[in-house]
Amino acid sequence: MSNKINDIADALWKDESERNWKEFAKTLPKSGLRYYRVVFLKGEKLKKAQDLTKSYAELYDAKERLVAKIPIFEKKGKRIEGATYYMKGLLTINKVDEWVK
Amino acid sequence: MIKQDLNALEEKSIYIIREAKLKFKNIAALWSMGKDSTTMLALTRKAFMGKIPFPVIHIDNGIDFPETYDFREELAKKWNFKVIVGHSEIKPDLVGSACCGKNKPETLKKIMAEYGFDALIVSIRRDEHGIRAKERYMSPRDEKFRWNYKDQPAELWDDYTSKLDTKGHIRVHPLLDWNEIDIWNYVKRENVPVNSLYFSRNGFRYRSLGCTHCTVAVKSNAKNVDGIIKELETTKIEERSGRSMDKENEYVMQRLRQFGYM
Repeated sequence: MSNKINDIADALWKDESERNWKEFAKTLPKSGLRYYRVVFLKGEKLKKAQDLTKSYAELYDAKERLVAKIPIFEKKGKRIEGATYYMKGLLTINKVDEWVK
Repeated sequence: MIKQDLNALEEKSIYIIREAKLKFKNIAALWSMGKDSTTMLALTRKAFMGKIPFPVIHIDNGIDFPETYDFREELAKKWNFKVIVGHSEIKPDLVGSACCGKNKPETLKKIMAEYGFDALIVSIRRDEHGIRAKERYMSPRDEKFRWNYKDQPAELWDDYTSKLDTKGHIRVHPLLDWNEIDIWNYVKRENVPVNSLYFSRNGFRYRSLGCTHCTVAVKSNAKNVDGIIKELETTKIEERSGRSMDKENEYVMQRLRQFGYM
C-alpha cells in the first residue's frame, strides 16, 4: 500500500497539479497513513507563496513510521496555493520535539 | 483565571446576536473553526431555535491544519449552515505575516463586496489581546475596513451602534466579555463540538489555532475538556503564546486591526 503512496508522492513532486492532489486525496483513506507533520524551514519567515516550495509534509503510518514526504502546495497555472486541504483525515503528529519552536 | 457566570454571559451574547440580526439587513459571521467562533455558532443556534440564519465565512490561506478542514465540513453538515470559503493569497505583507497580515482582510473585503454584507459577527474576546480589549460590542469600520479606535461610539444601557455614516460595515463582537476558561466551561456545559487539535497527543496540544505556519503546540497533558479546564485554572502562560510573534506584537496587532484584521 505504501508503494502506491510513494508513487503518488513522486508524482506530486514532479507535478503539484490539482489532478495529482485529487488522486492523493482519493488514495489517502485506504493508504494506512494516519499522521502528518508540516515542516517549514527553520527560522524562515513565510514571505510569499513561492516559499511554500521550500516546505514539505511528512506522512506517517499508525505506528508513527515515516512513509513519505510530499509538497504542501498546489500549482494553479502560474500561481502557487497551499494544499493542506488534501491531507484531510490525517492527524498532526507531536512526536518530534524540534517541531515545537 | 477568573471564572464568570455562564448564564449571564450566554444571555448577553444571545442578546447581541439577536440585536445584530434584527438591526442589519445582511449579516454574516466569521468562523475560524476555533473554540471561540464555534461557541459563537452554538450561541447563535440557541438564539434562533437551532438554526444559524446567516452565512458563515472562512478565510482560508490554503495551509490550515487538515483537522481544521475536517472539522469545517463535519460541523457545517451536522448543524446545516452555509459556509462561504474565501481563498486568501500568501503574498508579501509589510505589516504582518504573509499568511495572514493584510492578506486576509483583503479577501474578506472581496467577499463583503460580493455579498453586500453590512455587518460581520467576529468572535474576539477582550482577554485575548490588549488591542482587542479596546473594541466595542458593535464597532464601526469604514469602507476601507479601517477602525478608528480613538473615536468609538459609547455603548450605554445596551444601546449599540447600528448606523454608519460611510459605506463601511459594523463588526459585531458577542463574546467580548468571555474569558478563555468561560469558553471551555461553556463547551463542557453545552457539549459544543471542538476541533480535535485542542486536545493533547504525545504531550502537546494547541491552545489557540491559526494555520500550520504560525501556530505551534504547547506542552500539555489535557486530553479532554475537563483536563483543559483544570489546566487553565492554574496556568500563568498567555493563551496566544503559541502564535507567531510578528503578529502578536502589540504594535503590529494594533496596526493590523486598523487595517481590518479580524
